[in-house]
Amino acid sequence: MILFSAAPHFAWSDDVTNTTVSSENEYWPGSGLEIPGTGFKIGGYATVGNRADLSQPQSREFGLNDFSLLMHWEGEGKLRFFSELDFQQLLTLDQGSNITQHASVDLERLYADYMYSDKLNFRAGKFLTPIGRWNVIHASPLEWTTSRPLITEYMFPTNVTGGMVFGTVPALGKEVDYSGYASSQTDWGTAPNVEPFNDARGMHAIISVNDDSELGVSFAEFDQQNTTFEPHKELLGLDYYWSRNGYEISAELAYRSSGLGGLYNESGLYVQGVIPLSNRWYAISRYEYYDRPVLQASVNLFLAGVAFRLTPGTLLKAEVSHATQNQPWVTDGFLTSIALLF
Amino acid sequence: MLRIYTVQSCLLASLMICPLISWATDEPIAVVAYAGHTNELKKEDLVRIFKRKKLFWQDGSRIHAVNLPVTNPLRLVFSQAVLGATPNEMAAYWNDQYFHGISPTFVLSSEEAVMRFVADTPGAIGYVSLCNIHTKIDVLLWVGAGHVLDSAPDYDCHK
Repeated sequence: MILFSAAPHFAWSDDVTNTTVSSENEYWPGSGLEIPGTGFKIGGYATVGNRADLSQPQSREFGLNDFSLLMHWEGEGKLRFFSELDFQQLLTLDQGSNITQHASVDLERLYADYMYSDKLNFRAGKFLTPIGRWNVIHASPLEWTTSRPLITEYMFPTNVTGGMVFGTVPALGKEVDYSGYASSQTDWGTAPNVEPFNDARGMHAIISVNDDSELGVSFAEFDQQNTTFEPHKELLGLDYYWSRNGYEISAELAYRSSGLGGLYNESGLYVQGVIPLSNRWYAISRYEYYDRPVLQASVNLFLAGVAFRLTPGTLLKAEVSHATQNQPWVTDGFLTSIALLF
Repeated sequence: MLRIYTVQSCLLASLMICPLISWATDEPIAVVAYAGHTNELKKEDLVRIFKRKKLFWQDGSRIHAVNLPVTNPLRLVFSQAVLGATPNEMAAYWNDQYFHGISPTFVLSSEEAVMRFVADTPGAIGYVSLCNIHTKIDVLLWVGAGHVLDSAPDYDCHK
């Protein structure tokens, strides 16, 4: 790996005593650690959490749910590199304090960017599928709840291995962030419970409606591995985000059609609101709907929670959720977690 | 000179709330850059530069943006006028960017350092107090009265 210094060259004379680099450029939790003179920066995030099924109090689990290592490099030129290694369920204790074996490690992301211009950039490798909003920012310290909206977890593979073009272009008097991607090969480092893309093409575009809100649209057509009986799927999604003075509203809805039609079509949405209770306390509520006819599931999920921002990179969360149908793939009950960036 | 005042004014009536009034200096801020990019920058570009979304000048050269420390009053004024948020309020945005491997804008400790850096580094851009400029550098935009201005404000540096 060729190493370059990412720090700009400071050409001032030594007798100017007030030109020292600010402490903001030094390490603090949530900033990542820069390896001097190389351009590499390492960091990550971790989540420790607890889950209890309210209908089965004996089924309680606690553990180190997520531990991700991030590494990125950016030089003076047009190249940029990023990787994320994700360790899941490293340590899980059940109600009887028995250590359960669910640990897995996954190459979540590994890609290189060539930044041709602000309007056009190229990415190659494994990256997060640019569908909706939640999936591309799904790190636990960045999300208000421990649980993840169902449609962002089950309706499409969360990662793509392939290529992408992306950038920002002027349109309709505003700026539009766009991305277009394609994949036609085996996923790198597949996590055990994911059906990765076998062949995929898609796009995502976000437009700033005003200073407070963004509207996005996603489209994808894809095949998935291990689903050869269901040859082709198409997905259309919308996402919306508004925030002001700590208040937030976010929503996504998606419809996925299958080449087999009928029972294999899926649809769903979530709407989430955040209210600041104080400088650091927040109240969260979320409603979800997910219709999966092939599983005879039409789930309505209601969530209420609170979050406390201990530091800018550390979030304590507690939530209770209830789903109208008891599906094994739906996580509801009482969940708490501590999520931190490091 | 940069002056920051924090004033507590109390009204005589015991039932009335005593407001805490604070404001930053009225001296404008100059957005300065290495030579060659005059007439190229708009406010929207400035926002994108300091959010690290715009990385290149029109000629394709790399933009090197620098901030002042969060403890510097100029940083607070600039952040509110340009980004519409204080540095603390920008923390969530930079956390999101961190997840994608994008670091915040680099920070220099003083206006003097900013001026020297901008004067000597091709592609550099920063901001300093209008009346503190003593190096031959381009001024692209101005920040005054909480807004980004396209033309130089009428301000007497000698008062």
